[in-house]
Amino acid sequence: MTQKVLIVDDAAFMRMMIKDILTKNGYEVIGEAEDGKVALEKYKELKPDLVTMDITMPEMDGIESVRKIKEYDSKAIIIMCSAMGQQAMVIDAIQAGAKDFIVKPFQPDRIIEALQKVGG
Amino acid sequence: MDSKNGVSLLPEKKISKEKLDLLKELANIGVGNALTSLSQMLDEEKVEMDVPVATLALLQDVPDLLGGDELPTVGIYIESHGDINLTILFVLSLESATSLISSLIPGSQGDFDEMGLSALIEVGNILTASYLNALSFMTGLQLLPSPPEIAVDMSAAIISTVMAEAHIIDEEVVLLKTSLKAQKSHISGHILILPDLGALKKIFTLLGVR
Repeated sequence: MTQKVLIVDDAAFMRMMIKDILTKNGYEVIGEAEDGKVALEKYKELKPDLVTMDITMPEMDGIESVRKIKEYDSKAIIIMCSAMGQQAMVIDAIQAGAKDFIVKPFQPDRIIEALQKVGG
Repeated sequence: MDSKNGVSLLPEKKISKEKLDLLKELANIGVGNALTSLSQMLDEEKVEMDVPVATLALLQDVPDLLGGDELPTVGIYIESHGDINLTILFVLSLESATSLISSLIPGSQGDFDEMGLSALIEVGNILTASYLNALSFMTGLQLLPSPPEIAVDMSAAIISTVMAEAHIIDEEVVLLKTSLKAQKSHISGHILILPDLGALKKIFTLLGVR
């Protein structure tokens, strides 16, 4: 079954890039969100199988958004996709409930590998 | 007074050579990391950098360090908070910004439309985050960047905006400048790092320079 993905990133360019990689690899992108708050709303509305989540975003950052989504659905599968590779940030994200952490810029293979690992 | 690029620099006695050398090395490693990221975004193209310049400059002279205050410029800037406050500015000429957009978006003519600007902002975001990742690794400080802002204007106007947003009102600023060049893609620009006074003190203490 095709897996449905929600892409969360404040940069339209980055959403386009990730969407392109995912679509070419057989995933269905069912929604996009430009900040953590919209991500939570879209998660509730669309019920995606997987979420890719940026960290530094206006309104609500990605780590807070992961917390809120996990509160709503403890089974949510979220992969962080951020340029912020600082150790403290990675630990915060994992503690909030993220399954993996990809540092930008990334190779297309890296994102597919991460999605396959967590999403089966 | 020392002089570099035709700009009057303040006497170095206000900040020791040892401290400026340390800042230069931090810029070197941080920007080195940032350029590795830029190179990956440009399909592994070689991106070269000059030796960083660490200097104490008069605010009014900063645009001259970037090649003149009336130069049409694209500036992408980020304020970083957390354990210390820093402002990082990535400056490109309009031509370079156009080349960068067309290198990143397949089929693009390098227009400054929504997607083009978004691509530039994302490059600024990834460059500055790579710099901050390296600085955090070296110092153990946690650095939290704000979402990036972009401005297309004359370089003097961009510098004024950045200074105002960062609440930098001092007449003189410590400035780390690194110039970069990706020849194949015709991209050249500068990365400026402006730490505030408290940030400098913390960095010097942490790294044992008095």
